[in-house]
Amino acid sequence: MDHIPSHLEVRCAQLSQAGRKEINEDAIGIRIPEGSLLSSKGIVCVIADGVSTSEAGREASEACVKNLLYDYYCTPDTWTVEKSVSTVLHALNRWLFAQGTQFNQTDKGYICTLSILILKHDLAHIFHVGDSRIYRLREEKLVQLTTDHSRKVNNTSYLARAMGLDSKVQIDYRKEALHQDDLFILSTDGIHDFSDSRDWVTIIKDEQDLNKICINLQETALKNGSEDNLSCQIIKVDCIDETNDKSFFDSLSELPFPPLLKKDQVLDGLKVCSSLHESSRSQLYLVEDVETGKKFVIKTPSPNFSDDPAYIDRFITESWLGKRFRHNKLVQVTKGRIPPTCLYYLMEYVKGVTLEEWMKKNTPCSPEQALRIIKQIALGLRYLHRQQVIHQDLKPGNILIDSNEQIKLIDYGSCYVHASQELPARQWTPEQALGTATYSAPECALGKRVEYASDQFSLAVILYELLSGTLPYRNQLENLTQEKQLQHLEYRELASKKVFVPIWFDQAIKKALSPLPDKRFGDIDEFIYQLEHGHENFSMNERLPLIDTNPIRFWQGVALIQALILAILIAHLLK
Amino acid sequence: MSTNALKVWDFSQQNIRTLHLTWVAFFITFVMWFSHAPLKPLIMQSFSMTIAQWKALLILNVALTIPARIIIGMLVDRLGPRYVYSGLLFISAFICMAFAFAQTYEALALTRFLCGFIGAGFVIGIRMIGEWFPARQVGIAEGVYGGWGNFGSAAAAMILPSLALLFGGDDGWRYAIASCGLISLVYSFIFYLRARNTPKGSNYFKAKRTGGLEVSNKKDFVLYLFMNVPMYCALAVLVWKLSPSGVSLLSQTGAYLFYAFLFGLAVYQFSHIYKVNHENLKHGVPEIDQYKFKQVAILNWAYFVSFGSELAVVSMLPAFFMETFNLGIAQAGLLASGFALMNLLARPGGGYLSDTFGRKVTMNILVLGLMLGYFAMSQISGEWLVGVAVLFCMICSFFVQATEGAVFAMVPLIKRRMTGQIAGMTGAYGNVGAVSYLTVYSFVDPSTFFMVIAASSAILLVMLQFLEEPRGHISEVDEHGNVQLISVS
Repeated sequence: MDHIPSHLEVRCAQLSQAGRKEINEDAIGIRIPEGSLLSSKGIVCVIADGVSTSEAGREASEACVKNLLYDYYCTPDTWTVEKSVSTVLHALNRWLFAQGTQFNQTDKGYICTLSILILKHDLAHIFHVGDSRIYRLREEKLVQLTTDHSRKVNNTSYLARAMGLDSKVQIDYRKEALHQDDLFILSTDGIHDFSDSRDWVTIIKDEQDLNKICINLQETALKNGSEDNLSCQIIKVDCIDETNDKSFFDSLSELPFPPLLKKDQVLDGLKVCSSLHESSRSQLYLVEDVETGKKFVIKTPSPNFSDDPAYIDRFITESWLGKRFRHNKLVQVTKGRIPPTCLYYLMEYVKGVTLEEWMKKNTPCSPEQALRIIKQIALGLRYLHRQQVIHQDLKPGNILIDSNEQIKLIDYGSCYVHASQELPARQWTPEQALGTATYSAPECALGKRVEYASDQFSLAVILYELLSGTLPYRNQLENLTQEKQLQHLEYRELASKKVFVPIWFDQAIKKALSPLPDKRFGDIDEFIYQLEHGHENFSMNERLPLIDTNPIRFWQGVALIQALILAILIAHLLK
Repeated sequence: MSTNALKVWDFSQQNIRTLHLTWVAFFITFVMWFSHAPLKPLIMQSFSMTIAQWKALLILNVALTIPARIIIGMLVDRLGPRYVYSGLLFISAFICMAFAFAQTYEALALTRFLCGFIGAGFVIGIRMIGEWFPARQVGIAEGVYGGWGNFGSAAAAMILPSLALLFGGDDGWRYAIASCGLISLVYSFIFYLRARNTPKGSNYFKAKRTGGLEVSNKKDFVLYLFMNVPMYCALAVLVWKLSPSGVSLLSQTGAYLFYAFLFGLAVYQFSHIYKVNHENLKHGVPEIDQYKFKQVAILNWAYFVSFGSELAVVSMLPAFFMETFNLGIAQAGLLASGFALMNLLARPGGGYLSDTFGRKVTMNILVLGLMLGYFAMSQISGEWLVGVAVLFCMICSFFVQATEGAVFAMVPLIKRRMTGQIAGMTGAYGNVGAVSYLTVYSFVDPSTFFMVIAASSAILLVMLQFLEEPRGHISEVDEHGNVQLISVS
C-alpha cells in the first residue's frame, strides 16, 4: 500500500567462499528495493547450501537464490509474505525435484538447504528448510531462530528436509517483531558447525564494520578446521517503522479533498458530464477527457470525512487495490493523463445499471437467468479470493449489469486485504459497522473475523433476491447486534414463497446462508457446482433426522418418552 | 445532474420520504414539549397555582433535556435512529398523557420534568438525515428537518387553545394535550414500520469515541472543562428553584441529595473526558487531527442565546400577549405562534446566508439583528397596536432562528469527524440557555426579561469577534470551468 511509507533502514554485508573445497556450492543474495516495493514486499535476504553428495548442489542453490529474489517481487502486492514465499518455494521445489529425477540414485539430485529472512515494516519473516541457520543478536543475546532439519546416523548427519529432496517440501515459517538495532546472521554449516556461537557475541559486539565481522567469522571457522564452503550474511536494522508515525498522517493529507463538482467543470483535464451517484460517503461522476474524449468515472471522497484518517486510509487503499486487479468482472481503476491534484480515483466507464435497479424490474427471474448472473459474480469473487482479498460488501448496489446481462463488481471500499495485517498498527480506530447491512454475513455485522465464506453468504442473499424478489431471513439481518440472535435466524424456503425453482437450489442456498461460516460451502465454486449439478446427487427420499427437520416435535417426543418412563416408575413404586 | 436544490416534494426518492418521516417525528415531539405554554390560564385555573409555580413548571420543562440529549445520543450510536425515535415517541406519548391527567401540582411538575426527555428528539434526526443525504444536500436537509420540526411549538400555540375550547369544559385542555400524546403513540408505530437507519445495503457506522470530545492541546482541554460547568450550574439552579428556597417541590434534604448527585455526575464526566484525552495530550495530536476548541465554545454560546431565548420566549409569549393586550386564549396563542412560525424559513435561510456570504459576517449581522429585535420587544406595551407588536416579534424571531441556522451551518466545519458530539454539546447549550433565561424570567417582568436577552446578545457579539472562518482548501473555478485547489492557511 503505497500511502503507507516504509522507513526501514538496514546495513548489510555478505561473504561466500569455497574454503578448503574445490567448488563453492553455497549461494547467497540480498535485495533491498526502494519505494513502493519496499513497503509492499520488504527486504529479502537468502542463503542456500547446495548438498555436495548430490550431483547438482551448486545449480540447486543458485537457482533457489536467483529465482526467489526475482519471483518473490513479482507476486501480487495483496498477498501476504507467507503466501508469496510459499508459492514461490513450492514451485521451485517441484522444479528442482523434476530436474533431479533424471539421476538414478534417490539421494542424488538438485538438493539444497534454504534460509530466508524478509524484513517488512516492523516484522521479520523467517522461512527455513535444511541446516543453514538464522541467528538474531539483540542486546548482546544471540538466539538461533531456525531449527536444523538434520538427523545424525552413525556420526554422519543427513538432511531430513531440503529443497528438491521430494515432490513436496515442508517449510518452517515464523514471524518476529523487529527492534531497533537488531542484528541478523545467516550462515551455512561451514561456519556455524566450526565455531562456538558464544564467541560470536564478542566478535560482533564492538565491531561497527559489518564486512569485518563476516571475515572474522570465516577466519574463526577456518581456524577450527572447517572443510566446507563458508558463507554468511549480516544485516543490521538501523531504523524500523514507528507505529505512531507522523509522516503517515502527512502522506494521508498530502492531497486535498476535491470540492463537490458541477456539470462542465474541469478537474485535471477531466470534464464533468454528470453526477452518477451521491451518498453520504462518496460521489461518483461521469467525466470525459477534454483531449481524447474518452469517458471515465471518477470517485471522490465525501467532504464529510475530510479530517478522518481512517476514512482517507480506506479510500486510498481502495484505489490502490483497484489498480492491481485485472479481471473482466472487476471494474478497472486507471491512471489519468494528468497526475491528480486532489484525492479521487479514475475508473473505466461501464455502461449499465446497478443490479439493484435492474432487480426492481426483473425479479423474480428464472433460475437459468439468475444462475447466469450469479456465476459471473462468482468469477469476480474467485479472482479476489485468489488475491487474498475478501470483498466484504457485496450487494446489488455494488454490481453493474449491462443490457447483455454482463456484470462487473464496482466497489472495493470495504475489501479486506490479508497483507494489511503485516503493516504497522494504525493509530486510529478503524471504522466499525454496526450491522445494518442487508447483504453482509452475520460475522461481518457482529464485527467478528471475516472469512472468504462471508462473500459466499452475500452471494447467496443476492441469488435469493433474484429468484424471489425478497430477502432471506426477512429483515432480521439488518438488526443483528448480538450473537445469540443468530439462533433466531430462520431460513424460509423459496418453495414456501411459491417461487418455483429446482428443489436443490433451496438446499444449496440454505447451506450458503448458514449463519455460521463453517457450515457453508468450502468455497464459492462448490456452491456454484451444487447449484448446477445438484440434481445429480439429489434424491427426493433423502431423509434428514427429525431433530433437524422439526426440532420441536423431536423434543416433544423425548419428553413424552420420559413421561412414560416416569409413569411406569411411579406405578411400579406405588404397587 | 443533481444540484444543491433539494426536491422536497419528490416523494419517489427514498431519502426525501425519510426526510419527511423524520421531521414529522421531530414536529410531534415539539408539539408535546410545548403543549403547556399556550394553555397557561386553563392549567393555572385547574390547579389554582401561583405565578411562581407556573414559572417553575416552565423551567422544569427544559431541564431534563440537557442530560437526556447526551443519553439519547449514546443510544442512537448503539441502536440506530429507527429504534430510538420510535421508542422516544412511544414513551413520550405516555408522559404527555400523564401530564394531561395529573391531579396534583406535584404530579404535574413531575410529568413536566419528564417531558424534558421529549425535547431530546432533535439529535436522533440529525444523525439519521446525515446517513441519508450526500454532502451536497445534507446542510439544507438538516435545515428543513430542524426548522420544520421546531415549527411544532408554533403549531402547538396555534391549535391547542382552540382544541381545548372545542373540547370545552374545565378539562378541555387535558383532552387537547392528551390527543397530542395519542398522535405520538400512533406515529411511533408508523415511524417504526416505515423508517430505515440507512439507505438499503449501507452500513450504519459506530461513532468513534464517545463519552467526551477529543481536544487538541492542554489549553483547549481546560477550556472544554470550563465549558461543561454552565450545564451543571443550570441544573443546580433548577434544584435550587425546586428547593424550599423556591417553590418547595423538594425538601431540603432532597435538594442536598440532588446537589450531591450533580457533583458526582460532574466528577464522572470529567474523568471520562480525561480518559478520552490523556493519551492525545501526552503525545500531541497530529496536524490533520487538530482543531480549535474556541470555535466550539463560541458557537455554543451563540446557540445559548438564540435557541435558549427561543425556547424561553415560546414558553412565555402566549401568556404575555394575553396579559398585555387582554386577548382571548385562542387568539393570543395564534398571534404568539408567529414567533415560532418563522422557523419554516428562517432556519434554513440562516444556513443559506452563511453558505453564501461567509460564516463570520453572517453570524455578526444576524446576532446584531437579534439584539435589536429583543430590544424592540422589551419596549412592547399595552398601548402598542397588536399588529405592530406581532410584526416586531416576527422580525426578531427571524434573526433568532436564522442565527440558529447559521450556527448549525458552521458546526460540521469545525471538525467533521466529531460533528455528532459537537452538535450534541451545542444543542445542550441551547437548553442551558433556556433554563437560564426562564430562571431570569421567574424573577423579573417581561420587559426586563427581553432586555436581559438583548444584553446577553451584546456579550455574544463581542465573543463572535474571536470566531475564525473555517480553513482548509478552497476551490476556485476559472472561466473555462477548470477547478483549482488553493490552500488557505
